[in-house]
Amino acid sequence: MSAHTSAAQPVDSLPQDRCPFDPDPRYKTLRETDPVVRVSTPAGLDVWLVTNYDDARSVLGDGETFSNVDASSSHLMGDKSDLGGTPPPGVILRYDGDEHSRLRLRLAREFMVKRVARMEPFVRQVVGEHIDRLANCEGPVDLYREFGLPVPALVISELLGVPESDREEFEQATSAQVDLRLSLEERQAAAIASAGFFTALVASKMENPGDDLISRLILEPTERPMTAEELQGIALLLLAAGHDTTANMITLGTHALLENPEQAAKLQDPAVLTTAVDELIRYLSIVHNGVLRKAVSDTEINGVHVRAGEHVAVVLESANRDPRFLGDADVLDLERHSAHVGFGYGAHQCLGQHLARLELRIALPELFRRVRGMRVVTPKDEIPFKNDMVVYGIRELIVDWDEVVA
Amino acid sequence: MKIAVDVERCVGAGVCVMAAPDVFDQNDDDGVVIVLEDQPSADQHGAVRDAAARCPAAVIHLRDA
Repeated sequence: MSAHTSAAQPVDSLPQDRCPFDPDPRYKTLRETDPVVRVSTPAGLDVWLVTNYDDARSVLGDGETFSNVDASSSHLMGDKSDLGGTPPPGVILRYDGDEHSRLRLRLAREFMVKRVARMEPFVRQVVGEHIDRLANCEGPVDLYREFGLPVPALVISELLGVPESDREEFEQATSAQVDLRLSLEERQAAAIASAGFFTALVASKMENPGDDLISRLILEPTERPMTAEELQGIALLLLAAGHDTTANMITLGTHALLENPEQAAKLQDPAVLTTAVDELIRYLSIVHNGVLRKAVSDTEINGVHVRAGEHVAVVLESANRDPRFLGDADVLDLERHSAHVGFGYGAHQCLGQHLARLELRIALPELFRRVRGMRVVTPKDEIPFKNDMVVYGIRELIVDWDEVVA
Repeated sequence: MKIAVDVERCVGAGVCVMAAPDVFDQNDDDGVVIVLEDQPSADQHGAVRDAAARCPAAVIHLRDA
């Protein structure tokens, strides 16, 4: 694909040229001229691409018409073999209707605003320890590997009740599986290790429950106790949804803030922090390249006829930059407040959004406060961005600094 | 302003609690919305409108009291 297709040319494949914080420039034209357009994805799936804010909210908000059964990355990579199948046990992202709400609500209480607030001291401790480690490092280091990945991995290990003695091993395995500098074989081996980790974790919690999410699901009096497979599926889903997403937000967010120093300076103002994290999530829209839905009945989106069985990909990074939703949407303004769709919308909106906000609200200001003179070492045109992945980010971000203060 | 919520369709995302913590809470059992104040004072109206606009399940309905 050429780097920039001219506006006059029809778009027939998924636009993937982000540069680097903005969505593919073709989305600007598509929102105006062709807001619902049929394209082919990298895995060869034909989808209706939904690019503006209002249409994104109507599709994601209508779970009765648009099923989540194929909500996966199969439109981007692989052989589409995942499509049309039965969702694995516990992977509620791919459940619909009552089956989804039954499980969602059992998990929702774990991620309630007041429950998440109780994790603040732990998050502060993990963030502090990892900045201390930077202080003891000879720079430059890869910020993604040394800070972005371990912080959310350790937060999830606390949430799921991974024993302290296993946490380092857990962090290594979970981080290695998403580390794109490793070979496919190394990542697959790490994925098997981390799945094995959860099998063992669930078995041990069933034997000897503690005070953690998995144990509470096991102990809850209910007509239909969860199976070990469901619990493992839930653990894997929470890891997939909460680890690399947050890691990429930390890493890409740091890069964006270093590029916008006048904005970065505002991070130390507690009043700005209430909007800053959501604005970064909107502006960077790391869940990109379309979230997949499947029409269960014939319907229309913005006047375009969609048949039952056809797939729809809602492009969050485009919806979040829609000028009809937000003025100056291409500008990063940490003091801005918006009803963005960076966490999605509808019944499947990010379950862990308050935990993600907490982690970012602590990690980013602390990093900028303590690591003085931080700068990216990698030349700009050599920074490896993840254009082709479900979650956008940077494969590695080599940074250096002048000093780390207490 | 009078608030009505469709509790049956709430997905427990907690966006309303974040937007208007003095007006909304979440049930300890399942994270579903609890309205603390169904006729909020005028100084809360902005936050409540924001909560209604951002609710991912669109279950918060407002009308003039």
